[in-house]
Amino acid sequence: MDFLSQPTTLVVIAITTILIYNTWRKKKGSQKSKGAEPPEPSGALPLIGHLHLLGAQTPLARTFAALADKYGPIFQIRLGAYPALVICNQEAIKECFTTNDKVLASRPKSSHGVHLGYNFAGFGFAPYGTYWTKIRKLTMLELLSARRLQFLSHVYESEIDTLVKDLWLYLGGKTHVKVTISEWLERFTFNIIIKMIAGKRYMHIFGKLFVMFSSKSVPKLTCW
Amino acid sequence: MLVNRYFSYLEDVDDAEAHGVVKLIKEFMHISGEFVPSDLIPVLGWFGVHGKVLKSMKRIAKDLDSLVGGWVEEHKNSDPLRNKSLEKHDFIDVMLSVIQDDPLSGHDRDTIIKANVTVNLLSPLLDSANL
Repeated sequence: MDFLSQPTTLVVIAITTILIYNTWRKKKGSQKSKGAEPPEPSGALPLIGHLHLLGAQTPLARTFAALADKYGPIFQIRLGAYPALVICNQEAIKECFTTNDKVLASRPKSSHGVHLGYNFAGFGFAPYGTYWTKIRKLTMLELLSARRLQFLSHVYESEIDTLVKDLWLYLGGKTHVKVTISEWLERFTFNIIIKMIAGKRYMHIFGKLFVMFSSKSVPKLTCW
Repeated sequence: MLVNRYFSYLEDVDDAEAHGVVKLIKEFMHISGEFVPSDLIPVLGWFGVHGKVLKSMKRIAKDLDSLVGGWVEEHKNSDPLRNKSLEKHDFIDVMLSVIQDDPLSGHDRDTIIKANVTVNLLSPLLDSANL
């Protein structure tokens, strides 16, 4: 097995494997296809497909818009080894999400589902099927129902109360204080969500800021 | 215990646990949007190349599991029917009362609850992150 350790032999083996895999994939694809295939932009590389076109500096939407101008409103790209359909007009969307919605109701299996979704137990990652339908129904009826949200209204009422009180405290009687409102809203939503789910509360303005606040250095606060 | 106290956003809290939890949940949000190369290019997986994302995903999943598992255990022990009125039930209380083992899919009750707690964490937070 001495020849296996030669770098050139290894490269040759790798390239052959890639070529064989690529041919096999194409064969498999052509056997499955029924009816007209959507156009596919050129420039797909073996193994990675069109991925290299999507990683550029241009926003994804622009890349797809340019492709749609060239290939029409429905086209197919390859995300690595898997084909993906890109649609960008109303008829196509209607066709996919109302007429044929069951065919497209599932989602590809991903590492997220395995590791973050407890092996597809979370309904956000689970494939379409009886389990998914069951959990979704349960969520809609028990957790996100109008009745439940009404019961939990004390959570967001108290959070809104805290938010307004704290903003007032933060102003400290001044008329011009800069507030990064997105950070405040992030804390606000974070607290509501955790409190609704687990009855806990974690997020506060960090300790240091309050120390500055209480030691009469309020103007410094405006620069953060 | 952080429940039933008035908390201010301006409160001087130097609570390492709370900061850790916030950091973990933010990391979880971030990693959920990252893509794992070996998902799209299976060949990489066959050669054992998984990359950094999958590694940190496994770590975050482990930490999150102990956090959420802790929440669920706490709720189990507190016996919601005696201590809380129906109005005060949070999502975990509700799930504990309605979810059963699901032998068909092979998931047990605790796993289903934990998984759906994490999913519920994720969806609204992603929306708010775009503010």
